[in-house]
Amino acid sequence: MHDLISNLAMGFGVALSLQNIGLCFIGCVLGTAIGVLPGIGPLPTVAMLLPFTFALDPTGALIMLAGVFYGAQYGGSTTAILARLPGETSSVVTCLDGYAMALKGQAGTALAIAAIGSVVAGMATTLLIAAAGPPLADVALLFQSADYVSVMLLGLVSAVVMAHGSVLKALLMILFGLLLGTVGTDVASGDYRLTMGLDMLADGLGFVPISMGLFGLAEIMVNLESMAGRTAIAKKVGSLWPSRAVLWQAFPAMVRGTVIGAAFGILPGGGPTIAAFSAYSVEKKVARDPSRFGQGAVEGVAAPEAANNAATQSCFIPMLCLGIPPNALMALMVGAMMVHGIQPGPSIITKQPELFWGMIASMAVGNVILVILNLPLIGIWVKLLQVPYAFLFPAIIVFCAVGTYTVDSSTGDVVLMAIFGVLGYVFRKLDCEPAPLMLGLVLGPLLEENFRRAMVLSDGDAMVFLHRPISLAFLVAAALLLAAVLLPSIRRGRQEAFRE
Amino acid sequence: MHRRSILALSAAALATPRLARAAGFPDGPITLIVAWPAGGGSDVSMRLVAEALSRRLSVPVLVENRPGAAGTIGHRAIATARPDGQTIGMFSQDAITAQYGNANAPALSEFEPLGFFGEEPGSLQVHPGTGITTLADYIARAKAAPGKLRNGGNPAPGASFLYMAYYERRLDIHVTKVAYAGYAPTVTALLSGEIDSASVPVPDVIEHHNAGRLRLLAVSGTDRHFMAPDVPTFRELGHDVVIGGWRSIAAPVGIPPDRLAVLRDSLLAVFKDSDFQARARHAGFAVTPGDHTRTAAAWAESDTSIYPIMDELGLVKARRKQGT
Amino acid sequence: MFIGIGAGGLMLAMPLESGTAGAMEAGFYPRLVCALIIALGCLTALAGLLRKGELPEAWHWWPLLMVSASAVVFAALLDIAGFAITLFAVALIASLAGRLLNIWRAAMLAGVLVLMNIALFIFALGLPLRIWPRI
Repeated sequence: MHDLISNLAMGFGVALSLQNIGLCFIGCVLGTAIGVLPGIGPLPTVAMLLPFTFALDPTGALIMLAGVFYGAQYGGSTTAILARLPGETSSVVTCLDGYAMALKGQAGTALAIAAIGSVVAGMATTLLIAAAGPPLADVALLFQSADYVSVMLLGLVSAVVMAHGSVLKALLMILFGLLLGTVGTDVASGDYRLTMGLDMLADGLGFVPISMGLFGLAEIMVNLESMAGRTAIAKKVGSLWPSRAVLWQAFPAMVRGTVIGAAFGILPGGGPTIAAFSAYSVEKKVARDPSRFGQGAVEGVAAPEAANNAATQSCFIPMLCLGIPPNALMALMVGAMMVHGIQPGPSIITKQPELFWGMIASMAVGNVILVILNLPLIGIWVKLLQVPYAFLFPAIIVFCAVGTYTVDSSTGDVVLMAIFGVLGYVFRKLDCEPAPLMLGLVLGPLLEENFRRAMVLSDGDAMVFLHRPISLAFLVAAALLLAAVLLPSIRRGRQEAFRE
Repeated sequence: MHRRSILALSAAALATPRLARAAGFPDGPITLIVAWPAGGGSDVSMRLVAEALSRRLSVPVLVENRPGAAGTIGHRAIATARPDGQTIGMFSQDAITAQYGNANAPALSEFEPLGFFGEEPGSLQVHPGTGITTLADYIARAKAAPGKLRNGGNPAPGASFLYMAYYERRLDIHVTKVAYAGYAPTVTALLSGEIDSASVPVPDVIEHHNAGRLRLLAVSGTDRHFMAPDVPTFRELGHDVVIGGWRSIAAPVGIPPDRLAVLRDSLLAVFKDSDFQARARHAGFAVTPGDHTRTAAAWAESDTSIYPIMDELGLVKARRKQGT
Repeated sequence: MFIGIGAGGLMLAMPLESGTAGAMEAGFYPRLVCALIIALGCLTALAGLLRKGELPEAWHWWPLLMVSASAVVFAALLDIAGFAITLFAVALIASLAGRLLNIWRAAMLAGVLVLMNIALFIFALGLPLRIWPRI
């Protein structure tokens, strides 16, 4: 305990130097700006800033880059709420109730809840990293391929829970997502699959073009056909601040979201995404009136946002403590360390304590900066919604096109976005939700890779999923969850059949 | 191609005193294409090169990451760039393997060698839980139960996959090769004990080796790795196994000779610069400077040594050579 | 209306089987997924047949066409015409999708958007994009 306090004190000593606060601020501002623009994610931004950090000392450089990272994560939920544009995988969930709230004139409340949820989760997780980082990092090493398969399955099942409407349709959408996820290079053999001979598809379908199409463009198409009476997305804009009652309602959801997020963030792969989806499903399950979800439930914004941000912070744990990057962005951070001559790994805590504790303290500082920065911005964002739709939607289309293009400098991706825009429109007409599809798309390749690897490692023995305790636990959880969803709907289906 | 960037312009402003330029070249920012994502070893090394080259030529040198399709997208971007010397790119042995694995990948003849950055030998490391402490142990275990030891690495025909395939050939052993999407997940799996061994390069595992979480058995370079002076080479242990990756700089064919000369001379000067070497070493790269003939030799050497391995493993899917 | 999905699943599966037949290893998982899609698709179709009724709402082709067209135009023009002209065209077509603005106001909006985007993406973010066509 004493160590913790003295270590944190040292960390804050580093993080609160004028230079580092400034760098953290620049990082957060840039990150938020980037996050708000559809398409451009933190990855290219950090890559672009990398040479710029040559001139800085390593701690300052990493603090700034980390700021970009969580700033972007944060900004991504802003567009999800305002325009149903999820710039990040993990903000797909925020779209559901966040955008519904915006339509009801509660965009301000939704944004504020997202901000508060993020800061609560961010602070809690930062403390967790400080107190138990290294032992938690070892937890990540307990997970093997078979266990990941079960975790992914749980994540996919939670997407079924999330969807309102037909369970069958949700399952179909997940499977469709899984199928789309198979496009690209097969990890085990290196063969190209379903790429139609296009190198563009060799790395699979990108997340950004598909989500921009399915969510953003499809939303515009649907809006345009019912434009007769409406001139702006939300005519009335309610109070910007959530009332105390709303906060009270959202707080338990934030806490649950934080716990789920922190836990999943440590795992490599789809950490923040699975976290956001699971947090949402949990909220829907514990809620007294699940039918509110999808219609603008506060918990539906608070929980995934908290989970998402907690996971964003906790995925620093394996990177900082073991030198193992759990995702592409952390890999970039490892690269940034290497440029500065730091070998990331277990020795970093003892060899460079200022760097380690300074980074952790800067996360707390960054979260505070983000809230200070974003709360006043909410007013401006909400004003945007009052811009006549006739002006707004061409702007959104243009931003989507440019944003999607800039991800990989690929015009093919923009065409892909158009195709999925049409598809998204069809899905809307057929009353199928695109969110489960997105999860299938993101988790599909990971699921297959780990499944096939688990089979190789066990010499083709499928029982391995039941033999490993971690795997078994997640499988049981997934089965229970699926049963909880399927039973009522089967019963209902029967009743309807009898009525006819 | 005009590439504008505030960052790059500011980098140019910071650059040291202007040096003489040859006949108005370069007359604008130079793009250095890296066919791998930002943050990886290739990216980090090339950003160091870009910075030093920018200083020497006093124009901005911008690293452009064009990842995708195991490097094919980026390599094609280099090969098809306008041959005016303003666009160059990194060329590693992955570009050689890609020719045979993917019909869409550009052929070796579509590139002009510029300079040789350095080599990164392969290495073999094990999880301490296996009880294996020496290469001899490893070979004995693999021979006692063929296919029982599980080795992690890239999917075929990635670098660490090829290293293991080569070790198997030379040491006359057989292990089960498990594919991971990159070095980071491979190292994670090795640390967790999911696999018994891995064949990733020294810089990716050295910290864990020093911390005792895994054990480096041998390095397949001609010399020991400077980061792991305690780890012997395969040759020292009596096995003639030398395989590794290398990084070089290439350009599209058809660049005017005077411009080509400027690029080649400046790159060689950068690589030989002691300050540059120190920085690269600090980041984990051993720089072994070479001119364009050395580069061409490395390309040809890899081309002849990699092809038979790929052919034997059934990985040749394009540009099949006659008589093999 | 559900049969559409079922048939879609089938159609998607058809080229797949032929595409991956060569490598059993690589084809195993996609086939598994496809089989499940077909099965569930049929189930959904069956449920749809039992229930009948509820035709899908009327489709509106104009916005569908124009919104997707604007994205395709972006892809087609960018390499040839440069950033500014492309964006102008895209914004113009996009505004037409709504049929809410007359052509002059749409052109004005397009102009403003072009300037905004150039300022944002090229100057502020320093992205490597060409503003004008290559001469």
